[in-house]
Amino acid sequence: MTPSTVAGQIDLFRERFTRITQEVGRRVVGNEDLVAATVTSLLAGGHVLLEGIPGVGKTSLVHTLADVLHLTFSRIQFTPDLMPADIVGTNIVQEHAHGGTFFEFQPGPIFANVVLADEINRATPKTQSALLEAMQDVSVSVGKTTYRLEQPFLVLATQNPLEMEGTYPLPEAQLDRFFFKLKVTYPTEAAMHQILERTTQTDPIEVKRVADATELLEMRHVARAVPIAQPVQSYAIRLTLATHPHSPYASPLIRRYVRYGASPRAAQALVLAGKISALRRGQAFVSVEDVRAAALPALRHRVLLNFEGEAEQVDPDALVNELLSSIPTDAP
Amino acid sequence: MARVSAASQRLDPRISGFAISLRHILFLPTVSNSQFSDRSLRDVVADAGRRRRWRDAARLGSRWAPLAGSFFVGAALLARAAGWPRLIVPAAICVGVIAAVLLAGQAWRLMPPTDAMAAAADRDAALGGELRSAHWFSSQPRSDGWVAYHVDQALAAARQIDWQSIYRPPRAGRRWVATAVLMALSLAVSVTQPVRTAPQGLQAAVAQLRARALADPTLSAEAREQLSALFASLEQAPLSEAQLARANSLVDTLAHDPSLQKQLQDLLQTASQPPADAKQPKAAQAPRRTEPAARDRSDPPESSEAAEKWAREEVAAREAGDGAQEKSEAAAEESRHMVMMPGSAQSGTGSPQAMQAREAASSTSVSQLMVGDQLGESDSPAGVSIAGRSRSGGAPSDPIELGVLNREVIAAHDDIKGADVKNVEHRRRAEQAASELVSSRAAALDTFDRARAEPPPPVPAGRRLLLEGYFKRTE
Repeated sequence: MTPSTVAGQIDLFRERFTRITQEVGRRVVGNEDLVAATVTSLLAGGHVLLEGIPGVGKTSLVHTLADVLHLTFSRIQFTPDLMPADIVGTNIVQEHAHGGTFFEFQPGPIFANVVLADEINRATPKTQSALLEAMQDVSVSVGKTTYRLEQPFLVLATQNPLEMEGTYPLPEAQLDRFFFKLKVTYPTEAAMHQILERTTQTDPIEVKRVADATELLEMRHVARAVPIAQPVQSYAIRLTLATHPHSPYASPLIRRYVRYGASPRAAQALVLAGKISALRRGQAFVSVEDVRAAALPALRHRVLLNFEGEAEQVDPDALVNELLSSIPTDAP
Repeated sequence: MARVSAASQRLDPRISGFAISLRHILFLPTVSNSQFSDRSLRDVVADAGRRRRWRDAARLGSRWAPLAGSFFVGAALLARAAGWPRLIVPAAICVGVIAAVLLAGQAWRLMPPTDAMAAAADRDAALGGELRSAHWFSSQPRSDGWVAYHVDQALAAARQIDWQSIYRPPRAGRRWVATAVLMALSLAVSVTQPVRTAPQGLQAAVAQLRARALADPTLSAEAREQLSALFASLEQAPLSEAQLARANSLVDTLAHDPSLQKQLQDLLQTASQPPADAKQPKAAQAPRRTEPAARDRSDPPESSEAAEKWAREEVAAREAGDGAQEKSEAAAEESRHMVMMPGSAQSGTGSPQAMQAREAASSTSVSQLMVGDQLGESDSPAGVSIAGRSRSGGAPSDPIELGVLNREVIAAHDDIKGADVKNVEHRRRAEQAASELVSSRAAALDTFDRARAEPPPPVPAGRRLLLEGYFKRTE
């Protein structure tokens, strides 16, 4: 690959990324960073956990993304009585035309490019765990048969932080499988004006399909080709290790309030998100700032608080911000 | 390029991607001399690092150089006041200048680029981590076109940076001028420092003391020679450390003459003080050395009583032996004649007969004078009582004899007070410290390990019977 080809790929990636976010932004107002992070997670092959109060556009964001990317979309409303078979599918008995029966696999809603797991914390842990294999291996196993899911595969799960009664907090293993945890904030006054203008008119806003699955896979390939220097990679590693209370890089707050730190998946997320961030800037290298920009969404759900932290309602974002300010960026 | 990008946005995505690739194939170089780029990038980093070090060194130097100049001026003034050698401060300035030159050379030297250097240059030039990342890749084996493109881009960006303006040394002309002025001032103060000379009044004092000390007939030949050499050196130059120590040891040998000791000590103290605030190596010993003389001038009443008591005992002992008394009177008479002879007083030691006669006369005079004092003629100290007796009772009138008697009375008085015991104790300790013999503590009894003790050798059979019967009592 020649430098000119590299430059062309960078420009193409940047242009496609911008086109996708702009098109999504036509319907989702005031959440440009949220849209960019969601697309970043999609290009990195990860999944996103969206947390926010009802009515701030979580489901609308997922709908719009599926429309813009020309991907198959399915929605699963998680309830306490939802069963794993309701997600992955099940074998049902069919009859042959000439007599006799046989089992035929009926795919569940997980068989789609973009899956919206709405209010995922309302299902039982057993049902939540049904997503584990799909999210990690992009496949589901029913009986003795394993079915591959179509790429790109993206799970966007939402949860409501307010109504915690009757919910089942996600287990650590499943939390770790989410590439990003994004907080959907309440829109500003100016954004509210735009929301009202666009949603109270006669004609709904239609979005165009600006990319398809093939282009997404190409962008994913380009993103992984971006080189990263070892000092920058070391910074991502130190940042991940610093979330552990017994690490030498840990800050006093981490030592006091954290039970377990982030897994190596967090470092992978930091590096991949840094690469995509570099391409968005039109650069062929990952800088420390790219890694730092991905630290909050990649680490906040991987830092598990201990009893004292839970009792004092410590915000994991504060812990991550403290790490960002304490770990030197110039260290080799 | 922006126009092409805008046009490609309106096209179908696949067509726009092809258009961008075609644009880069046509307008960008396809061949990258990777080794040249790597070397050039490292050179840029090394140059930036050198400029950064030079700026930091210049900033540090401009901040500390005036303080160093002030320090040298202060050191020069101190050296002038304390009488240090005049080359100390110039030598220190030379060392400082050489160190500064070496540091500056080290700062300007082109060093191999490091990651820290690249990170600092990247941060200062606000390159967003590009230079640091490319520098790391430039030292690694080239893997693909991405790295080559990255290094080329970083090199192009680094070459557009004006490193001279980023790492401009601080303008501190006034500080450097002030430093130069202070250095020159300190050199001038050091070079114009006057040579130390002995004070004028000192030589006269030394000559006077010399004449008086050498006139003492009780001095031994060895002490006289040492005293002569010491006074000769005192007349020529200020006392050195060794001379001072030697003078002190000599003073110890003159313990029988407190007045001379006091004068000599005053001389030493004066000789070690001429420059103001100079250090006084033996200053601590001076008060101790002058104690006998002080006591000579003002004796406490109880000391006089002890001296009188001692004198009574002495008189009683002498009266017990009449033959000895008569012999001593005859010897005293003879010694007066010997002393009156010209040249005998200057020769000091004289003949052995003269010495014996002088001693006998002194003891007799002391006895007589103490008896007179006992009779209540005077309440003054011993020396004063001698003078009163000589005026009233025809006691010895010769000044030398009177001086000898005076000194012996004072020595006896000091002996009673235990002053000599203290000096003897000091001398004993000093001799122990100088001795090569060392003493070690014996092991405590509780450290004896009976298990490690060796059994005594077996008694031979021939002696066994003798040994068994040795402790038996025989009638």
